[in-house]
Amino acid sequence: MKPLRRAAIILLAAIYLAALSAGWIAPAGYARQFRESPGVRPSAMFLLGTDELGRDSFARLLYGSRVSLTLAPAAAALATLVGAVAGVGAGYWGGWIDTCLARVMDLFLSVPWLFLLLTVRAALPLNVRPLESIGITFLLLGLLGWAGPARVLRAAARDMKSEDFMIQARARGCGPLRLLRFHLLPNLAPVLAAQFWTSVPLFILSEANLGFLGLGVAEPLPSWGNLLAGLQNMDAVSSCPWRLAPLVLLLVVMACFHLIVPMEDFSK
Amino acid sequence: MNARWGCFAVGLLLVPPSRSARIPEPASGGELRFCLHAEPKNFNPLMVSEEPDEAVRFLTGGVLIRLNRQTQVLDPELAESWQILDGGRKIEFRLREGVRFSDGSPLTTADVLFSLRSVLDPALHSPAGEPFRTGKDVPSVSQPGGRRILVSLAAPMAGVDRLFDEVPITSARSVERSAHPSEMPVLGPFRIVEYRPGSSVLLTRNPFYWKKDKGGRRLPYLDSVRLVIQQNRDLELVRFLRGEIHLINGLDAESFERLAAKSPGEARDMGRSLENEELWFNQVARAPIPAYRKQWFRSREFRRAVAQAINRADLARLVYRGHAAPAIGPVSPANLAWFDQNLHVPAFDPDAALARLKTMGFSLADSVLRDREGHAVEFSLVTNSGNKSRERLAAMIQQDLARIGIRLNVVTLDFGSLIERITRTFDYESCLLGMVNVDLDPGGEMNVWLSSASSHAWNPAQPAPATEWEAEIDRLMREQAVATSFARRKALFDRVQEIVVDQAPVVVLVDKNALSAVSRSLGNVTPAVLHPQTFWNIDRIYFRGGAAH
Amino acid sequence: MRARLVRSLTTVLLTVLLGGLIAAALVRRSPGFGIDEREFDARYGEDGIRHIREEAKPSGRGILPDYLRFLAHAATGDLGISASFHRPVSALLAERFPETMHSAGAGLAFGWTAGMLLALAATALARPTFDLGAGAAAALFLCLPSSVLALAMMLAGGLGENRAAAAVIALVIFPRVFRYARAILGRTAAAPHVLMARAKGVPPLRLLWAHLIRPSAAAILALLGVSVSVAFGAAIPVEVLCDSPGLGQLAWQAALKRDLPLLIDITLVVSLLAGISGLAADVLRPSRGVEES
Repeated sequence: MKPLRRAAIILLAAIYLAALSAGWIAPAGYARQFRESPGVRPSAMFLLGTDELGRDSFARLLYGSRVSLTLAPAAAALATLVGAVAGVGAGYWGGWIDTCLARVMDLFLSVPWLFLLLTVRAALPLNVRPLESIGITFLLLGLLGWAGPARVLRAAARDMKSEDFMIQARARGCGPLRLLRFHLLPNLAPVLAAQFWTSVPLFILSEANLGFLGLGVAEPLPSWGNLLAGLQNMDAVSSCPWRLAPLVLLLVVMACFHLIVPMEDFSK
Repeated sequence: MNARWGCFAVGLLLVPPSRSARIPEPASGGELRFCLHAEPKNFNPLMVSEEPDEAVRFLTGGVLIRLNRQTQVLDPELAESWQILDGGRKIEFRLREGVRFSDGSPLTTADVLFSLRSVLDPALHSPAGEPFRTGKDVPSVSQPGGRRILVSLAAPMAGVDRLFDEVPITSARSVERSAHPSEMPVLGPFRIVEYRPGSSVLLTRNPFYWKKDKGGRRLPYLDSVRLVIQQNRDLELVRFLRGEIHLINGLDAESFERLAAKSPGEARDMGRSLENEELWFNQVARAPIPAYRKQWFRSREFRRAVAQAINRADLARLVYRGHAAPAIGPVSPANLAWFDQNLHVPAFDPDAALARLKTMGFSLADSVLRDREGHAVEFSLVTNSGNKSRERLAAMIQQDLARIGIRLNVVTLDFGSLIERITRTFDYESCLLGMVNVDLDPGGEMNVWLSSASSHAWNPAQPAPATEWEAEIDRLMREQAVATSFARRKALFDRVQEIVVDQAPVVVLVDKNALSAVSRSLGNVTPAVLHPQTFWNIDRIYFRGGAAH
Repeated sequence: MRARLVRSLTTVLLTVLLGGLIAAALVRRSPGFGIDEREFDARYGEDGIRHIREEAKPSGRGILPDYLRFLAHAATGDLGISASFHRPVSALLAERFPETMHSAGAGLAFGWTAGMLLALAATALARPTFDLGAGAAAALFLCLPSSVLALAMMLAGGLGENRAAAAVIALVIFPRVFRYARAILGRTAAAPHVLMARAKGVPPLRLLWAHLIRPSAAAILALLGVSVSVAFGAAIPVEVLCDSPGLGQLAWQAALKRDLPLLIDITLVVSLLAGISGLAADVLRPSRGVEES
């Protein structure tokens, strides 16, 4: 395994571990308000300072990581998986299957599914736990977000099925499923990885946007989405650069995913 | 010697007076720019109901009586005088002479009759006519003679004259042209010349505006006003700092602090406004919530305990950065005439709150409060999403109540979903919203305090008062609505305020300060706590140094 | 070929109509539909509230009959009256569509250009450090909320709302195009025939065009359809933040107010764009060797 990839795995594991151990690392918790210390600078007690209500920003970042690092990649993986099944299936089999699935993809890309999210949220009990509520939101986002990846995978699969190696494999007597499993999908891995990689931050950020409609994470639970939304106050960020910590952490995680998820070595 | 003094005297005559000796006059000219936070929907002055439309109407419209936003006293406008007759059943106006529309046509009694009759016509459903519709009978409007207009009400109405601040005086041809706003003749200081959807509304000086300043100069001083449609409040502040706009109304505390740090003289805090934040519990009998929770919410002791457990001072200090004050009662002290001076800020005392709950059979164990039947005290608080201040308020209330073992679940909903729950389905437990008292007079709050009213937040549209104290409030409000003496009305409304504080159907949390931004290039801007805050005296605002803006 | 095109257009049209029906159903069933915020305005008495509720009440006809009625009117050019703006939807769309076309179009053009140029450079140079740097830049723009990008553009000053919106859309599109194009081009560059061509001394430009770009074009063009949808999706928050009076801002306000006629019309427009862009990507796809039907 390449050293850089190894380092990325270790770093990502450390971040996940820190998020899971938030209770020990930041015992004050994400909700406790130190009301005499709102908006203070980083110190020994508050590693990243406090927010406007005196809540420990470091604790909120750690606990927010749990939500975003678990749910967003899961939603991205779900969307990519469903997209892969639909897109590769459409591209490989062609014909009426391709036509139907392509139109379904168009539908999913254009219909305002936001209203389905609102309806589902309204159907949930008011006293549902914030984590359950946001979990359901991410699940729906994952199930609804497959059309984009499906479209690009469809084109890639259509393109690839007439490659020489595919023709050779068919000529050797490979069945459709074997062709898919051993010849097509491995070669589509870079495209799949690219889709997954671009979807993860998309889902993290979409949670923040959905907050405007009441579909985001409920107080006091933090998430990277609502922490990143705080960057809109540019004056506060320029005078308190530690507020960029969520963005820096997200970039580090994205870089780790980029290095870890199997892709071709383009340097060869 | 004499020649020398003579030369001196001639010299004095020839030398122009120094600047310090001359009183500077407000300069004419310039384009004032500020933002509307949503697209104007309706330019028909009779049908205006939303804030952007009201701003345009304020700048272009004329009224018979104007509430002076600074003194909170009624001033004559298009009516040079008025009198209340027949114990409040009638009001007679004497129309001012020489007033013309922006197209030069004179304002006639026919125009005033048209305007008043249209506003009062139940078939038109004009929002300005709503306060007059207290029963089935429609008020009538007549012209006794000359330039007098008589409005006859079905029943006496105390303080009816103040309602005419919102009644637009227009003409039939103006209403016909409201779909093309640049063609509407108007009576206000400005008229619309251009409307670019999604972008801006441009108004220019009404050349026939009837007001003049003390020096006899025709008002307004400004050449034009551009209303920029800008929804994003952060960008609005950026534009103000760049000098692209000159006024901001309703600045939030965070933006105020940013502005004050960069440009202290331009950030104005007028003190307490009429806007507050309040929380109430759902007391609707048919609400789809568990019966044991309904029992809690209907208990005065429970509501008082929750009110006592919330630290209002912290809310004002942290969420509003000190630009708010702990609320005392349902009426803000900014309402100079009607606030009950005998009321005091409710004490923050979680121990007393817990003791109060214990008297009801609640018990606290392992940081969880339980009722007599063992139910953990847990309920939801709905509020609208996208409002950072309100979400922070909710988070702080959540912490305060956690201290006495109550688990509060904050649920943010988009506004449409929220209104549906609190007005139609009643599928909510408690609600946190901001309230704006537009009308100073308690007569304007009948729809809030009467138990049969639709805006009776915690239990609207009751066929009969569900509690004795609500019946008492009904009686007091109806009595003050027809009383003729201010002292009597004040005493009655004071009692209403005292009952509300005692029973706590609404827990009023903070009174927000009126914060605004005023460019130092402007003169004569005296922001008020009443809307429209910074431009209530738009006809007298001017640019220092003249038309270079 | 012509028959195939007609068939494809027909399926796109049917999809568009189905999309409108699904949108209508979703909006009608969503919470807050038929609710007017004035119901909670204390200035209104009982009669006023009753009138407001009557005005906001949906017709009792049902979703499908109402939708068919809408389509019948739309066929004559009447796209309905916006419930929130109180103006004909056709007038609103005519005003706002050019703004969005301009900003989304410019954003797409710049985003694609930047993404493709960077992907081509990374493929041609084949240096891990360059890849890492380009990937980091792409990651940065992927991770920054569009609200922050929009504010940064506005604060940069002098751009104006339209250009700021176009710039933000370009920054939203660029990392997706870069990431995807890099993957496709990288895979193609590692193909044996490319290695052979390089070994045989084929000039770099010819290598790039004939052996990298042309074989990858089909797969890359597939992203075009998706990026059109992404651009229009990004236009919504970006136009709201930049206060650019385009379709995105209109769609957001329509969503908040549950403005059914406007939402159906916007869905039809976006569906049509998505369908046509997907179709265009399929049509423009160069044919390759033996293809199974």
